[in-house]
Amino acid sequence: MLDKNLVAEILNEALSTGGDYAEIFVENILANSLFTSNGKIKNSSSGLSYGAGIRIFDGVNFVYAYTNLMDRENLLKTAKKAALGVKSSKKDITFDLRDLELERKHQILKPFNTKSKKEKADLMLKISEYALNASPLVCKADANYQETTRHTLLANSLGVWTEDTIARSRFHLASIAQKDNVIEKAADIFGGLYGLELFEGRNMQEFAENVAADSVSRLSAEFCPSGKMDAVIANGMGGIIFHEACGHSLEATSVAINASVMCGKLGQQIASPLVTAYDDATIDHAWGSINVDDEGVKGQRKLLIENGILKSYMVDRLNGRRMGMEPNGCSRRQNYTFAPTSRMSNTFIANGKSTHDEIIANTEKGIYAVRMGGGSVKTMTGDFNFSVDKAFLIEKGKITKQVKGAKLIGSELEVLQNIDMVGNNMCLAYGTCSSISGIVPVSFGQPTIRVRNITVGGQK
Amino acid sequence: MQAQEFIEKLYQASLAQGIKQFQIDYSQNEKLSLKAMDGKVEKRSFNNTQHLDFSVKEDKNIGSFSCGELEEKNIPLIIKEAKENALLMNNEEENFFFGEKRKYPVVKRNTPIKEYEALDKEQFLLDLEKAAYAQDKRVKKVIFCFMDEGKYQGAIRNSLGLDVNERIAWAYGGIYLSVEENGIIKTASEFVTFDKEEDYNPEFIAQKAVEKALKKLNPISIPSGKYKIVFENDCFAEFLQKMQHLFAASSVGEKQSKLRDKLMQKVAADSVTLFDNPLLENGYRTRAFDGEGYPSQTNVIIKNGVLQTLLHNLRTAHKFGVEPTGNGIGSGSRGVSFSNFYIENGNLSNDEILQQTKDGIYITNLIGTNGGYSRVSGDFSFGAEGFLIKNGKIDNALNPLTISGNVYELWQDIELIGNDIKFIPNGCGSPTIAVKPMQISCN
Repeated sequence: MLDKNLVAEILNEALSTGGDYAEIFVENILANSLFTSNGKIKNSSSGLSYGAGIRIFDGVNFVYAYTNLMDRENLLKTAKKAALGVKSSKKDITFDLRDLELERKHQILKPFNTKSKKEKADLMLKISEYALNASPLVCKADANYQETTRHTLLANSLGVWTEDTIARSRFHLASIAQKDNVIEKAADIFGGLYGLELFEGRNMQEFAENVAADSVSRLSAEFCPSGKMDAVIANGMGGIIFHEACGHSLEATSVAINASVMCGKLGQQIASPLVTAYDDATIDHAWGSINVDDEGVKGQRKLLIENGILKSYMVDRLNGRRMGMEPNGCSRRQNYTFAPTSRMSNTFIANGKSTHDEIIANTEKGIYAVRMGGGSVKTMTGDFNFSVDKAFLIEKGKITKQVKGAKLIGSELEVLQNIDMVGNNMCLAYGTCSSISGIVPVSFGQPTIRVRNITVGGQK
Repeated sequence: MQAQEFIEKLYQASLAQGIKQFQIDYSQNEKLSLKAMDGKVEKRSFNNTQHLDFSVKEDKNIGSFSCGELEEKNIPLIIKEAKENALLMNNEEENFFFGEKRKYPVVKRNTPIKEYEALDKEQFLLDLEKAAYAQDKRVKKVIFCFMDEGKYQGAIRNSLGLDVNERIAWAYGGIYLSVEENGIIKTASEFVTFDKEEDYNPEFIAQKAVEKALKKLNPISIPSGKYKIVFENDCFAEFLQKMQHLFAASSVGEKQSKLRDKLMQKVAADSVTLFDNPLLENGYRTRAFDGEGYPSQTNVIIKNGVLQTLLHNLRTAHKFGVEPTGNGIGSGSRGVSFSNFYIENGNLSNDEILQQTKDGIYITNLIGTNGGYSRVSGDFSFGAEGFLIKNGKIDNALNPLTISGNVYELWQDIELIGNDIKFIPNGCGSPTIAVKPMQISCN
């Protein structure tokens, strides 16, 4: 990427007007994607991105400048222009750029170039075929595969120099079923810090048939009733409720500027005593894992909530200054065109003691939310919402008919207190998260949980 | 390397390799962003980047490679990848580059007025923050004030002779704040695009944001059930963006539109006329040509409730046997792009619509629209913010809501259309819209 001497020169230029910290982030991404539909390879595209972002701190104010004109002259010009945004007296800062010792986990076994695009597309067509053959009602199976290799360099005026390479791949399958004039779609996705071994050890036929069956069963699903009821939320993807309803409010991005309902609540009981939760960037090959964050701090496992008591926030370097806290390895960005800020990685509620079956059997009347769609939260007020793509009614302790079109809304402090059963079947699921530093890969996770008396929106 | 030099080298290298049909899409972006809070400009960000997409047509398919590093050493990779991508695909429908010699319309896009040049942007943000705190003591926090401005230059050149380019400059700024009363916190935001004089008045902008937030205080709950709905103009404009795909010919093959067989049939209430109009004067998405270089034209999509056309790119037009409508995306994309997409004004004022509705719910904001919507069935269930309408007037704010229905029915269920069209920066525009009762639940 860039030479150490040039990087040092850029950082010194950035500090020339009185900044007290400067960093440069250089990123090179190679990406490939394939899209197939009903036996046809509909799209194949690829791309290369290479650019750099320079950030300067002046206390808690900052300047961010980025460019992809990567010659020496322009990089120095960009640093100089960025420095013009700081109007302070020059500090005496010297640094010696040294490699950060890093445990390089998530090594891939089968590099992306060990198979041709054609071979990858053929595999996708084969998997789609399983969905198409699963039922005569399935009229369309779309498969989407993406692979990216991201090489990064982060160097700063604290003397940190760290380079890393992360490969990510993911596979998405959608099935569309039609009966008369009713059309329904279901989809599932998996991904991780893998090369082409992503597909190994998975029963792809079963995966595809499940997606197909989901689309078919939606055809006869009734609309979900509206009103307040208990919700049993399934493991894995169900963790989006914690991500939206709590995770975002624990990011320094909103806590540092007093725009979160979680401000000033460290050490306080914010959730039911059954809730213990982590943000863990160190899980092997998990979709949201990182070795090092985008400002040169190692990825960590952070205990966020222990038995309902708030233990820590997710803190990036800039907001850490506002909060008087050290950064804890969660500063992320979509790519070099964004300044980094505190973000989640793999965020989950830890296992409790109940079994999934006990939770269902103990629920008199409610909704069983199996697969979630998207969601969002206003951290300032704690109001959140998320949609449920696959749900059933629970009646007298039994899962009964499938319903569609459910939306769950509530306020986070209320819902965290209202978790009254936590299962023992925690797993992680693929996700993406959007915030001010762009879209980043994350995992959602939880065991089966029950939330008392949540507001459900439906068409009935 | 200079962009022009790079493009020329890539062009010549493609010819030298005997590639018959290829296209280069080039863009250059400059942007400045400022963010202020707590009496200080907290963030200053700017950039200068360039980007290139190279596409090759082989047989019926167009393959592309997207490149953010315009260095000569990458030229062999760019050509190899684009070609390989094109050769791999096996679409039945043919894709096209546009190369006919056509006259392009002269258009006037929304752009900041001349006052913008003299604007002290940092001071403006600090004034805006101060003005908001001065409005009302219930203002808890001005979360931030922001300003973004940008310049974009784009050019498309292909082996069929197409050589077009455009330049765009834009700016917007705004405020996001919270108010608090009796322990209840509510937030609101307001933004401007500096295209009219009042956009330069911090007091006026702050006042609008604070009023919006204060109105949300002291919310009440209502029982779940069916209520008549009135959508505020900019709220329905947001909703329109979610529903644009219904009118894209590219959605038909994706099973994301059921309108293929509805041409010249009634798909909406009689009073509805819907446009996609890239020629609209001062529109946010006004353009002389689309992403494929096809000249822009005004498209009436629905006239008096009857579907007139879907929106086409070169590929879908050929497939459906019609003329393109100037809605291509380009750079190898199979989809359709929208320009200024809006419902034509009706005759009623916002007040008159509320009076005629008498009792119902006034929706001002849809939330969480990234989920809860099936493009194939048209069923939706969104979070929402809104107010009770009582005796023809806006009454109490409501606790967070969900609103559920089906978009195909929604178009038929439009009852009243206002005369107060408002556009949002994504190009969508709508007047106030009243619809038949929909299912609501309230937290």
